[in-house]
Amino acid sequence: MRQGRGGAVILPTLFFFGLIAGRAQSGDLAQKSEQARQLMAAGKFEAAIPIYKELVKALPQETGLLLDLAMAQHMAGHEAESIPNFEAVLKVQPSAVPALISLGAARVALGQPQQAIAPLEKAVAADPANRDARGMLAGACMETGRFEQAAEHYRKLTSTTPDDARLWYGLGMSYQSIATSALDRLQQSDSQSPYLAALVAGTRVQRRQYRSAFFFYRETLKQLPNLHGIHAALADVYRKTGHVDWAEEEEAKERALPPADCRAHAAECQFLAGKDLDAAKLPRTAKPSPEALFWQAKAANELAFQAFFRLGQLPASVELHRLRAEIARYQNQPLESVKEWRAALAIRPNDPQLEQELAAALFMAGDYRAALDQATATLQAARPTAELNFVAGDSLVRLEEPEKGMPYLRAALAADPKLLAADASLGLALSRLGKTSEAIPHLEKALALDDDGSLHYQLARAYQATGSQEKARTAMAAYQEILKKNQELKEEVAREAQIEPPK
Amino acid sequence: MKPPAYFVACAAVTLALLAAGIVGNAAAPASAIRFREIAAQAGISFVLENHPTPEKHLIETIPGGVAVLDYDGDGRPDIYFANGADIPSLEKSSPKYWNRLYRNEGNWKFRDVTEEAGVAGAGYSMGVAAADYDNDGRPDLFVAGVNRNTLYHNLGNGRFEDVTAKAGIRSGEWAVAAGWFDYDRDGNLDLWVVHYAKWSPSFDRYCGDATRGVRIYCHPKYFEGLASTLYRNRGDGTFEDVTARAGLARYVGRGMSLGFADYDQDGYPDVFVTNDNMPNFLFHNKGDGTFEEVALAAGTSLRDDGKPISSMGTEFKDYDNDGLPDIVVTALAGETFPVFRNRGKGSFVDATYASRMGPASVKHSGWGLGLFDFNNDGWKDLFTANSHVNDRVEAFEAATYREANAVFANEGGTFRDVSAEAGLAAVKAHRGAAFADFDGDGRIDAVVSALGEPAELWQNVSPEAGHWIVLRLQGVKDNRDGIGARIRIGSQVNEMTTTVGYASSADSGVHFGLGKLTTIPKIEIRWPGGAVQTLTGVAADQVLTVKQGK
Repeated sequence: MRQGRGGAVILPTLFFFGLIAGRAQSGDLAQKSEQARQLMAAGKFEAAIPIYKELVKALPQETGLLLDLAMAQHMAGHEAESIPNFEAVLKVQPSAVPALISLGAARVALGQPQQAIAPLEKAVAADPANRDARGMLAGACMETGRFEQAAEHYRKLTSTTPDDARLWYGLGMSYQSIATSALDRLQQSDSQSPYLAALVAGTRVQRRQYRSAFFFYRETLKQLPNLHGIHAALADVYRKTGHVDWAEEEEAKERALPPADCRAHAAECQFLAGKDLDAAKLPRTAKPSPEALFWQAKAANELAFQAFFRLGQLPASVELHRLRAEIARYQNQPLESVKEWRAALAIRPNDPQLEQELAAALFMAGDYRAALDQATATLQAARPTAELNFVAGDSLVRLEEPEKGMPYLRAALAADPKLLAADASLGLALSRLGKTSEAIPHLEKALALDDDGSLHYQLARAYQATGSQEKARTAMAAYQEILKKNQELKEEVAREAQIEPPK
Repeated sequence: MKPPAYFVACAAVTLALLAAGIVGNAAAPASAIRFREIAAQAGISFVLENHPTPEKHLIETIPGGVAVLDYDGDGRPDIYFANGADIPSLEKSSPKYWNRLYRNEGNWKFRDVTEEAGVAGAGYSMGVAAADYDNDGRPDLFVAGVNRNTLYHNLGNGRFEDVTAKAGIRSGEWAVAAGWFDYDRDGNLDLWVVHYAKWSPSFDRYCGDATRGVRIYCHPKYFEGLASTLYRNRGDGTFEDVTARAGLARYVGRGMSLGFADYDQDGYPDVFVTNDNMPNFLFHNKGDGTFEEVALAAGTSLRDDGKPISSMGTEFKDYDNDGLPDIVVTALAGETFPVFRNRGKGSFVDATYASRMGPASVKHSGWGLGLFDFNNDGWKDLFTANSHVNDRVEAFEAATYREANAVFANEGGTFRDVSAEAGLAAVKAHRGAAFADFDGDGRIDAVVSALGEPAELWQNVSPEAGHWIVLRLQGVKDNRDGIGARIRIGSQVNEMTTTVGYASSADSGVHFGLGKLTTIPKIEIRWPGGAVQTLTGVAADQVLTVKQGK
């Protein structure tokens, strides 16, 4: 059994064993066919491949044998080799569901979810009850930003399999992605919109940044005094910050609001009526209004919450712990996140993806020794990734062992040359080891990450050390400019940070 | 052991022809450093009462300065602890909040003389700075505090007088640390007061996680910093605030501590000020009564990664025996205890990694520190008083709140953590630390304060410590304490200062470890005014008082 990326289970179960036996072929081929069948049944996919290749060569017209070969290649992890064979099968048998599913699975495994969608959609169309196909399709849709389609597939899956935690997690994440997407679109279309301010306030509440949330809710009310839910949200902020009396005042204001005009504000009415599925759908216009995007985000958030609530009612699962870990990370509680990833791993030991998440969480928690241990253990046991190498390398740099960190950082960059954080870390490591000239190109490459001026500072020192005084002055001036801008921003934020009584 | 009798060094040529350069030059393996904790049996029962509140007022976690001074002139170093107060009144509403003076009665016995000396203090005290500001031969005391500073004049009869107002010392801001130095070289000690930030008891930001009911001390970023204050000593018992005139008023930081040294060897003492989560300051003394802030150009404002850290205490001394004062800073776990090595010509390099202090300190959070030669091998070791700032840190980060102190042996310019074998096992919320040879055996001991728990007195019992000398300077033209004088023995250089570590003070002369050297071929003293005095053929293992020009 293998796990698809979207959490669905892939079960390629059909082998075309009997094809040869039923034909008048040589006894040798029949024997080989049987041998291959037995190897496949025993899970020895690698060993079956050369036999199937021989059989296909001998009987090139036998689509069944070609499918068996593709299956063996796919099951042995040779995805790229399996794909042309699956495609060849599908040319002859366009509706062969096992070939469609396996082709989709191979594309997913290769990190090509976009190309996986077409065969999986065909598989689902041909066999709507096939949970594996639909699950993989939902996952591929998620990965390609087709969140609404993903949600639709997950919703269908949860209706037939309500006790599968993976599906509720997928459903919740797809709705959450819809909400996030709506917020992003709103920001792009009107960054000063009071609707955007209300959504931003909601995210601040989730992060427990109540002062900031208060500011943004107040900003919303300046322009939309009758928007339903804002006074109630302010009341929530007041309660969370210990101002119960002020909370009651805001709640009274919420109750006193006139009912929404459902002809002009249909989405609002749908949301207030609890018709979240309807409210989460955007009107089919080229450019949705800020109001429409706002209510879509609100409704999708609500639907995500409902899905996650259902997930929480199921027995403990990897997905539940994953969700909790992600929430903790979002709320800047890295130790909680570590705890949850550890719990997930207790359920599914040795899962490399979970181990990588744990390593990253330990790193975020500043427990660099533990992050290093986890990352190196996973690197030894599983396929190396740029992220794991970065965690190991940067942890070592932070533990003041730059010479040991460098090989990992170089490996991270070899795997992902665009991982600028690895360049930044490698630059620092080289500087610490006195290899300033080598450090400079890495620091220069990483400058795009420099939001606090630290990389410009490092670069200025490096230029200084190598005699490039003019460049050093320029870099130091840039460092000071970033500090100045950050200070201005900080002062602006400070002005937002007062919780005052209701107006 | 009482110090030897007054000794005026003669300039006679000695035949003890040990090469002057051997002291501190060779990177021999460090001999063992050992301490044992004896506060209770020595009669020290001081508890740093910081008055922790559910509101988590930031001042609660910052205090704890300690001073060592020989207030009664008997040659034995005494101890003074700064203490907290009630919050929000900021009054010492109970004797438990008194600052405490312990008289060293010899043989590791101390007696609480706070009341009779009149130094119980007022307000929420933070740091202490001891020095003889009026050149009368008796160390005086400045106590920095939250909105209330106090200057005590030592009357010489075992009592002190509060002369704060008379001397023109202001209060009203949150002062954490202070130090005495003679910035204008007029022979009178001036006072530098380091301020943290604007704060009042009405500050009520909730930091932490309200839904879990976990309230923590707010991050420093929520507090608007303050400039230091420089008081010029007029020499008549009064001071004038010359902060603006000296060009210091515009340098706003969240100051924690300070150190003095003439880093560029131009004859004028410079000032390094640590800032909490802000770049540090290095004030270059221009010699005309003004300072210029040069930390960024000099390379001491930030670590090599360019990120501000929680700089706490500092020592401004030469750790690698190249004759130039370097800078060591304590900070929080994950930030290391940075080492800035002085390369000469006004330039420093981050040597935290190169000195091996980085890997040795990265897991520690430190406050007080002292760069002293604890095993007398000719290389200054580092003692740090450790604890995180946030008592709830374990709920949020992979860090520890209460920690044992640490000692890092200097092995020829690189450091090694030898805390475990040194016996520093007591786990507390340590804060200030001061250092002195309390029993006159030539080995530097330590006294450490801890929030809400008894202070510690660490007797240095290092078994194979080398020879040593302590120089007690007596300025005549220069300030009487000789503060700012630079003393060279072989490749070792120390400057006379009472300012040490975090918000603390230590007035017990200038200590040198000598290794196997029993006679010192040459001691060179450059007094603050520039006069050079040379002593030759000086016997080791003594406290040597040196009078200027004699």
